Amino acid sequence: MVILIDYSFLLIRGLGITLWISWVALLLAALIGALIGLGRTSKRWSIRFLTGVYAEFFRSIPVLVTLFFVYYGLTLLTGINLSTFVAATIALALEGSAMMSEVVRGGLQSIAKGQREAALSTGMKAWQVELFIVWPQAIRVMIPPAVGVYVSTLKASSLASVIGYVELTKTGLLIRESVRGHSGSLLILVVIATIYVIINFAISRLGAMLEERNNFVN
Amino acid sequence: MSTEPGLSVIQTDPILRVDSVTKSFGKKIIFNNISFNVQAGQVVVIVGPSGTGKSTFLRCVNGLEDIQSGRIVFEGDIVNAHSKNIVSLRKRIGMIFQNFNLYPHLTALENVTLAPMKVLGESRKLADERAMDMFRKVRLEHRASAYPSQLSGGEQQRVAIARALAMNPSLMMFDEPTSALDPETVGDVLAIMEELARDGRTMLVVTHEMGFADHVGDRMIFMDGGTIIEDGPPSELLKNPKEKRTQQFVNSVLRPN
Amino acid sequence: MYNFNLFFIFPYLDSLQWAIWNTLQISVTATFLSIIFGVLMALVRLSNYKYLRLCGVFYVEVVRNMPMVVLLYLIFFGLPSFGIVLSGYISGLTALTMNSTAFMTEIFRSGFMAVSKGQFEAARAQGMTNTQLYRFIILPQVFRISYASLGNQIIGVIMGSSIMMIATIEEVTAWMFNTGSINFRYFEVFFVGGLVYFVLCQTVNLVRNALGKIIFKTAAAGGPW
Repeated sequence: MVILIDYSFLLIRGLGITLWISWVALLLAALIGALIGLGRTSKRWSIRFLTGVYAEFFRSIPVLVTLFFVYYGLTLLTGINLSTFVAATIALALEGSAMMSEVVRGGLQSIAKGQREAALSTGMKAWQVELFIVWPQAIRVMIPPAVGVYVSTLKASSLASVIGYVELTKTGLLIRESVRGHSGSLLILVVIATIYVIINFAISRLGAMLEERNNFVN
Repeated sequence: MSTEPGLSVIQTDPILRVDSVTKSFGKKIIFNNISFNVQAGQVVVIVGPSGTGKSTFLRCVNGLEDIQSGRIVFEGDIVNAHSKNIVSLRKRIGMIFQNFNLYPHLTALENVTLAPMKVLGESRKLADERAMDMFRKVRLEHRASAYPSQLSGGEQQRVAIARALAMNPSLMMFDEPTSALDPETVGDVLAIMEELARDGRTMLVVTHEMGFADHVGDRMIFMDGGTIIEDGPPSELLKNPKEKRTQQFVNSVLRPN
Repeated sequence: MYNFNLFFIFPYLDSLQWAIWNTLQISVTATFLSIIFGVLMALVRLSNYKYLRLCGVFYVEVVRNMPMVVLLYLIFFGLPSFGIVLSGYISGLTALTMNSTAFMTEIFRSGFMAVSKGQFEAARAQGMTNTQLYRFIILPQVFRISYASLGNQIIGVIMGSSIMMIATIEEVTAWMFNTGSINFRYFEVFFVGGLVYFVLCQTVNLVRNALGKIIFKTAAAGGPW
């Protein structure tokens, strides 16, 4: 137990890194996902098909596989050595973007057709309708499921430990190595697990609260 | 011993005996000290304002709800919601719900045959044959293979009646059977209920249909505030009610502004 | 420039075949087990007993908020401290099943909650015993309501099975990693492995849609189904 207190600084640092990488990945995922999601609601059949294949593709490829692909494959292709951070961020963003496109599509489709028609009938241009009427409403609908994507990304970020990126899980494994033989070696895993559970539970509750507030407003 | 006004048939052992029954949820009393008997072949109609525990009372009779005091005796067996014999008792009581409660994953025919096969142990052949008899009875033989979601409200309720009939129950209970129906289908359901009454079925009906109560009912029980206010022949209760509350209710139902 | 050539994969097709078999085997087993445990845990979560219910909530919240790798490490490294030594395969299967059970529980719980109270009453009023009630009336409806989400969770299990390489199980991701580190043909390896996962998941999707049409004949008729 005492040993763990010595390592508490490392644990906090590990948690910080985990939160940071999943946050960066989420932002990238939101950007890509918004474009893909927009494409999935497009009037053009070809755009809907291509973006649909993109989303379905990353939905059917495990994070670990994407991670290996980016880390080893892209390095081989470009000749540039990607850092574990960059590789993990790209992989998480690609995986997250498929989920985000689903969130964006759902949000856009939740806005009643009448809203568009009402706005068009007041003489707004199509882009104005999207910018001032549809998106402001849709984003409110998107936020709770986007929180869910963040939790998924945060959990998936633990896989970055497999390529040696020292985030929370890897920190735990390294501490476990160095205290091998002590009673703390199991405890450290329990501590790591508990940190994940508390953080993710808290974020999920936040998402649920936002959702309830939405229901109240609507 | 309470007397039963307006009863011309020879008194035999009643099929259903309700002795000072009280039902409450926690501190909230739903009904209090209810007593009456139902003779075989009688059609008893229970009326009264919403929220007076009429539906809950029907649920107590077949043990879907327990009672806090008093005694319900059906064909000589005491109804106890928590006892093992409640299953054997429910086989003999058919129940029609306000919202039909058809099994959505089964066809109309399967809805009717499931319990005869699984609960009564009938063969599929016999159950199918008897079910088709029931469908003819409710005039839905052409809809037997439809799923509930493909049927109108009135049709669903007629399937529900067929489903109850297929168990050949000695008492049929109707819990506001027409309240959830479109006005144009109410008549179909009431006509079938009237036929059942003519066949001599024992029926306990909670309803707001005063016309039905007057034409078909042998007896009418007016409940309000969790107690029985008046109990007698429907024509009597409707034309010259003795109690003031019955009078007010009858006026409000028969002559809505 | 990288020269993409699938020819380099040929020598490894034999081991790939085994890897696919392992992925399938562990995914099917975990799916099967987690459906059974999920139904039971859903009943626990809906139990009338408060403490039983809380146990269910605790299990679901803990397991689904924990990365599966961490769960796997807990089982793999943790249990030996209590004198329980599990093989890599059993550890992996346990982690995958536990994780999937948490999600299945939530799927079936919402399924049970979507079956109206009137269905219980109607079946009881017909004299059905509890066993008959669940077998003939409630579970078929729960299964039907949960059907679409069930397919998604099966895909989730296949995705999760990739983590089993950490438990030294020779499944498809392990094959990709190992083969790539031998022949350095990462692009070809990932192309083939990725294709395997894509085909597996799309097969689940297709089977789900086709089977759904066969089992739930009313689907086209509208209504609540």
